[in-house]
Amino acid sequence: MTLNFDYQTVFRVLNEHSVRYLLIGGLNYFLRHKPVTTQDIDVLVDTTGDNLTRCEGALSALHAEWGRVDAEWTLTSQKPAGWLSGQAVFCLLTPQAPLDVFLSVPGIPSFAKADANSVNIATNDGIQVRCLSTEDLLACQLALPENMRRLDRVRHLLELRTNG
Amino acid sequence: MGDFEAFQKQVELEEAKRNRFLSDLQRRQWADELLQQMVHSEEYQRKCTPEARRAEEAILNRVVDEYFKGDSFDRG
Repeated sequence: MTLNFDYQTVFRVLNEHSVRYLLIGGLNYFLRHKPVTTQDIDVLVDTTGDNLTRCEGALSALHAEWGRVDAEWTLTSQKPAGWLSGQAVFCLLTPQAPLDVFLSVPGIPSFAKADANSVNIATNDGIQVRCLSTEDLLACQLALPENMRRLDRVRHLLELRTNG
Repeated sequence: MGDFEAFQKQVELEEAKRNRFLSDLQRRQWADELLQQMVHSEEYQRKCTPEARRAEEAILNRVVDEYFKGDSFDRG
């Protein structure tokens, strides 16, 4: 796959397909809080209604690749409808960025509730991105075993919560 | 295996599988590109002094370099 890194395109296409998603993980922290290196884009998607079907459409439009095993690694557009199910996370490759699609994550028991608390930001090109709230970002960190938490982030997020 | 351990194991297996289709060079390019987009973003330019930006960029470059030596990297 030839890569042409452009994380903004990923959000533009998700938005165009009306996918209900929330940006989580390092890129959320990067865009909203502090610069950190991160190796991919992490999104949590709503699994209700036809959202996963819309998400599959968006991933096809992005020319995403994925396979349940190496031998099945191919464009997702070549997979049968409904492939985006049956496991909690899918680590895909798109020409724009490595993309992790989560159907669930520890610390976020309800997409609807997290969505209600989420915040909207705009990228440099004005593309709207739905982001997990600071409170829920903190909940994700606290759901990790202590030795896996990013203490700098936890401290910073706790400060934000304390100071409003 | 607990729920979290099962989840974490799946994340690791998925990442490892994807990385077999993504070269180290491509991973490096992604990290570099993200860094460049960050340091040139309007919000970041507004928040930081030029000195702070240069210092931050140096730190981030070092973090990326360390990752590609097989050391720490923010997997977040």
